[in-house]
Amino acid sequence: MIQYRDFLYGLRPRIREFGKSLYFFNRNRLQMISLIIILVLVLIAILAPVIVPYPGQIMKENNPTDKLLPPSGKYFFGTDELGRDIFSRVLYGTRISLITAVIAVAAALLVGVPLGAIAGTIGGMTDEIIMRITDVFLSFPPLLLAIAIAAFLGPSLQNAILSIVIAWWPWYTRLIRGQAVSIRERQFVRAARSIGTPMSQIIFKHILPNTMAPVIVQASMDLGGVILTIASLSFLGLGAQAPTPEWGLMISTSRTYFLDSWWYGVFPGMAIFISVLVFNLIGDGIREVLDPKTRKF
Amino acid sequence: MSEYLEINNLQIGFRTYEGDKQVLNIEHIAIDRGETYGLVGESGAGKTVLALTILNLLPPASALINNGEICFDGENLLAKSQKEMRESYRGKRISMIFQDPMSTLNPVFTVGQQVGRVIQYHRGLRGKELEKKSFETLEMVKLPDASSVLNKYPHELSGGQRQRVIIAIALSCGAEFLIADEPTRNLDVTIQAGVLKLIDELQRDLNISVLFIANNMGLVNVICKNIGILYRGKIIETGTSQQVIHNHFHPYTDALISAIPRDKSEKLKFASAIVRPEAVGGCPYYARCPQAMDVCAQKEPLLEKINNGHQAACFLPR
Repeated sequence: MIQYRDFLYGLRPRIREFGKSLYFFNRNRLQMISLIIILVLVLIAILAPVIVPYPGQIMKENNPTDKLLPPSGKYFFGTDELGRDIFSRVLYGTRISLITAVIAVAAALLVGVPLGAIAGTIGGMTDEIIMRITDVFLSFPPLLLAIAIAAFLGPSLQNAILSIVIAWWPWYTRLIRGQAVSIRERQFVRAARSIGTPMSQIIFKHILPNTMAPVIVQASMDLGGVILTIASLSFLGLGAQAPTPEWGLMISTSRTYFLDSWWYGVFPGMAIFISVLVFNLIGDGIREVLDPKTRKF
Repeated sequence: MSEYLEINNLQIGFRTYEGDKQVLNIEHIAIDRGETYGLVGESGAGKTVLALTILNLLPPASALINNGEICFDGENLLAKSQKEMRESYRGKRISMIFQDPMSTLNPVFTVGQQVGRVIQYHRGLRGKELEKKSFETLEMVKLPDASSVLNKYPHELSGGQRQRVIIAIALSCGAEFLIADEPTRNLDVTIQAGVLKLIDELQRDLNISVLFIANNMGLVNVICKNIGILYRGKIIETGTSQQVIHNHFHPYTDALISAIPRDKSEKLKFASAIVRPEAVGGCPYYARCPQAMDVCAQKEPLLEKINNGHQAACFLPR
């Protein structure tokens, strides 16, 4: 008798493999801590409007009596020049940083990955054209590009994301293309062609899934890099505009008051530091899990 | 045209940095419906190139099809576009199994997903029907415990199991012509026997034609009706397996047969030794031939009839 239920199960990738990966994570203390911190950051980002102590003070509210107060029981991270609670603003900033980083990386992946797979698999003229286009984009310095875009379209968070995507996607294209070129020579791709599989299925069902490991690692590390870049752009006045509670922007404003009020710049800086660090550590952790050669156990 | 697959005057070359190189020059091969044809030759002889040519899968940038035709059921395959080949020949009418079962399956999908995908593409089945057909396909190749094999990833299977899965995929969509490119390479001797038996049985049950490529005379002897010996891209001896194995004429065929280990008392002959310099324009086997004559260095022998259906390309007196 045919066991249909078994079969249905077999048609899906198995969940227990995922459990095994988590187990490997568990064996590595640092990565596990990073994973927990990332989960906390995500929770903060989702729940920001609910958990911040002074939701009203995030954007506008003027509170002249509590200007530039040091950290205390009432204001954990102190207050800024308008008397707003820095703790609330830093928590809210998590939301902005994570969302922008995820959008920027996802958009770069969406553009870069299929192009890389197509270039690597088809080869020849298509490959040549796509790779020369990536070379053109790679030659733009990201910061200069952001300045140019800000000059054209005006400085805003969306335009900062746009410039990051434009500067970032060619890296994924190159990464995937290199993988695809080696995988398309593998026997199973030839076998798939011999059975009549169309080119689109070969690219997206046979080549792409086999190239994903380095991309996942790169993307998780890039999340940290993009957070840093967004903060830099905001610091330079090319990204988020006041009164958005963006970390880079807060540090930028804090320069004026830095000598008297250390807390104004330090806490947003810490937030940037921690989030970039954990995303880099998690990238390392994922690489170790995905590549048996670097597993320590 | 009576034959099912007929290859005439096929000449294939490759572009290299040192200019174009001719790698395959086949005057005539004919395979009947329901026949198993054995193609034997050492590595580099052009066996796989021939197989890929039939499916029109040679890399278009470097391969040169200079001449010739491959008639399959009355249609010249070399004149078909890639689209026609993909939609109505590859997988549907002609299938191929590859040398190394270890690398022929995609490592990131389960066997069930890979079998299912091919059936879905060619037959348009979905859901329950697709599952049923996938299961039946694996049952056809006599995989014990087919439903659990469907759940497994290729690395969890043994070489023999994988090769059976590959044969199942190749035959899942009703192919009538199977190209088996050294299907038993990298397998244990016992597994080899199992895979051979399976191909033989399937060939009979489904009444398919098989082009069986091997480098071992012992294998083809068992399952093939006709045999061609390929050396440096040319057929040098052809005939029924009885004629080629037992009444072989060409010294290279002799070397191939004596390379099968049989008896301790029999001294192993080394067919690969080069005993004299190449003869440009002469017999391609001249450099290694133990029975070379002066004429062999001067002109190239052509396939000539020995007796009914048995031909060899050699100047030795008949």
